[in-house]
Amino acid sequence: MKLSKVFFNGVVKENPIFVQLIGMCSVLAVTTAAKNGLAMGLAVTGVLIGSNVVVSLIRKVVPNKIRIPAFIVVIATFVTIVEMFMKAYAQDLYNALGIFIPLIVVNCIILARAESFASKHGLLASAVDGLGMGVGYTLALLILSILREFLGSGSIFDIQILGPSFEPAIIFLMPPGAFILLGILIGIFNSIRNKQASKEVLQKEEAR
Amino acid sequence: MDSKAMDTSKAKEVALENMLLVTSSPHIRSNESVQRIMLDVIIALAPAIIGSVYFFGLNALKLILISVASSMVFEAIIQKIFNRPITLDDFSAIITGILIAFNLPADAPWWLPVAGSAFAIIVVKQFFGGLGANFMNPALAARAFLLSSWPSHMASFTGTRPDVVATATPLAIMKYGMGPDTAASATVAAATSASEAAGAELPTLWNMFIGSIPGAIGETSTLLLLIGAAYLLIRKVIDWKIPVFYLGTTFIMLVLLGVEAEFLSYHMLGGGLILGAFFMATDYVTTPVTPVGRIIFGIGAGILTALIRVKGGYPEGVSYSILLMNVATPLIEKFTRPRVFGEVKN
Amino acid sequence: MNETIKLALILFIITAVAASVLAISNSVTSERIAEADRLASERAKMEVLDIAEEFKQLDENRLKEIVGDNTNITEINEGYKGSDLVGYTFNIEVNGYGGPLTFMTGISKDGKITGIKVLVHEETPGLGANSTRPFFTDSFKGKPVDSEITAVREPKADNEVQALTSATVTTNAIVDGVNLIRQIYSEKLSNLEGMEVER
Repeated sequence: MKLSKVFFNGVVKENPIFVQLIGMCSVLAVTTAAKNGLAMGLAVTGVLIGSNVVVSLIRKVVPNKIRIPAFIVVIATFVTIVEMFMKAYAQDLYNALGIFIPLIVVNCIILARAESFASKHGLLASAVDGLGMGVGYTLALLILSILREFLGSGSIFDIQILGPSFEPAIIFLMPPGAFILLGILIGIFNSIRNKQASKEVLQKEEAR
Repeated sequence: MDSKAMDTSKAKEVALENMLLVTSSPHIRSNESVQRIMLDVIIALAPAIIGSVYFFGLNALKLILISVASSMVFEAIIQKIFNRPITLDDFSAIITGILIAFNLPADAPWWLPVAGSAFAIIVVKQFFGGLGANFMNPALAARAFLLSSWPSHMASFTGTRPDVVATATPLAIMKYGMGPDTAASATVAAATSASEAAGAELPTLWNMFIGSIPGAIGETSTLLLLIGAAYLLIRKVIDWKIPVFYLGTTFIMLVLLGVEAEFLSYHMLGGGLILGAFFMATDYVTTPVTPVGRIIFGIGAGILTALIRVKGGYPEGVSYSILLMNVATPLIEKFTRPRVFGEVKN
Repeated sequence: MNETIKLALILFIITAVAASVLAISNSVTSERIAEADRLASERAKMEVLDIAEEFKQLDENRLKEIVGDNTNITEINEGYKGSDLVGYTFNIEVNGYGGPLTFMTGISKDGKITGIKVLVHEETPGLGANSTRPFFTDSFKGKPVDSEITAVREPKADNEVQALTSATVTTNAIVDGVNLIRQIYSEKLSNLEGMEVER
């Protein structure tokens, strides 16, 4: 399998947020500001790559019966490491993300990739898969959180964009606004994806 | 789903697709009936529009015009983008615009109705498939959107006289002005009116009836709204069941919840109850079509309204209760669907 | 049976490796975390009582003696400039709109509120969460402790602070908390200082 294909599979074709719609709870909760969205995305990417690599390494020594607890231990270890380092070196971010950092353990994306990809593929492919999924997740969070921060606070990455006369719509900082924006983004993303897919089909048919 | 509205929109699509065909008259006739219904609603709203300008001044008229215009513009733009036939001529966007403006305080800034109609038309109506397919009343959904987005603008009401800067609505006075510990009972959205409500006095019942009280533009005048409602009932545009059961249940629930007798009439005349019961809870698309379903809808909305007003955090609960019942409508219809004769039970 | 032991052993090895990895990363980060925590709390104290240079936390017994039944005051610090006691900081937990809200208030020895800072909160973004913004917290600065503080939309008088629009619950929770601290300071701490000076 080509590595670039594995990578773009995670970013576009099977984007964890826009296509697979998994791990939504923390997505809706942390995307109130662009900074938080980016940090959460990077934390998840780090855990994804780490756990994918280790799961791929131990996939042949771990018996099938205990693979789930073994994977969970690996994932929980990486999440705890990320949590410790975040607390030590980026405490503001840690405070902003709060409970959602330890909750990465139960984020379905990570176990899903360990189970469906890393436990069946080699080290390099698993690392690239983790990176691709992580980048896809981070991009989705970044887009959503930039929109929410802009509409709900009038700023992006804490930089005020619109003057004081702009009155931000608080709803976009609250759960309903997150759902509405996410729904619209999923719609746009998939209509673009569908158009490209049908284009590809057309090209293939022409090639014949 | 309302069969009439659905048939019409379908018929219209057919009519538009077969532009070059000479079709027989039923298309034209049914096409007119949607327009006619919507036109009737606009006529019925006219007394309240005139009244709102009389009570709240030209700013009310400005807000109504902005709201209607922006609703129509958004409808045209989004239908163009979606490659749908542009259906401004069914007047439904005009009604949505009027109802959005009716839910605003008279001193709302000009962009508030624009934001509201954008949400109502684009997100609630067209994203779900346009007229006949929206799952909620667009105007009420817009009100909920505006209330949680800009609570300070949506909850500060102007008095009907120009010299009164900002006052509390009768419902807010009843909720916050009576108890000894005013501040403790205040909540997020109602907070601004809560501080004003403390110590304010209730208006006379006559003023409540004709509409010379603080409140949203179109909801205050019970008299003018009832004139419009009577017109709709006579023209058989709306069914009596939802409003009657809605108002009746609200009254009974308020009594059961221990609201004192002297406040009952204020509850019935105040807030958006009359506007909601006759003009919003009777929306064809988002309310049940079955007779029993309509009765259930009215009772449910009545229970919710009374509960929110008496036990809830907000002084007013009409919009949320109708929205909640809108969402429950498919379920109600499923359970009250009349069985076709000879149908096998499964 | 044999298989069970084998599975348990493998799982044990995995967890053992995980535990040792965590132990290593903990030893790397724990000092920094403690340092960062200390710095953050120090910074907060400096923010609400900027005239002090050093802080000394009152011990359990002294704290109990001062707050009495008001156990929602969780910490009191004395602020010193050189060897002079210049004021106090109080940590208090109150009930906000979204849940518990912890904030810190500083009171200087000359009977003025020197600042407040919200430490932990779960308030609604854009409404109650504005309690962390300077336009709200700064309005408490310089208020005298001898009169009851009230929140209004446009503060004018000496005892009026900025109310948060559409977030009355949050505003009242904080204002009530400040008033409680104000009271406790006046009753228990302001006189004591005088006595200490006389001694």
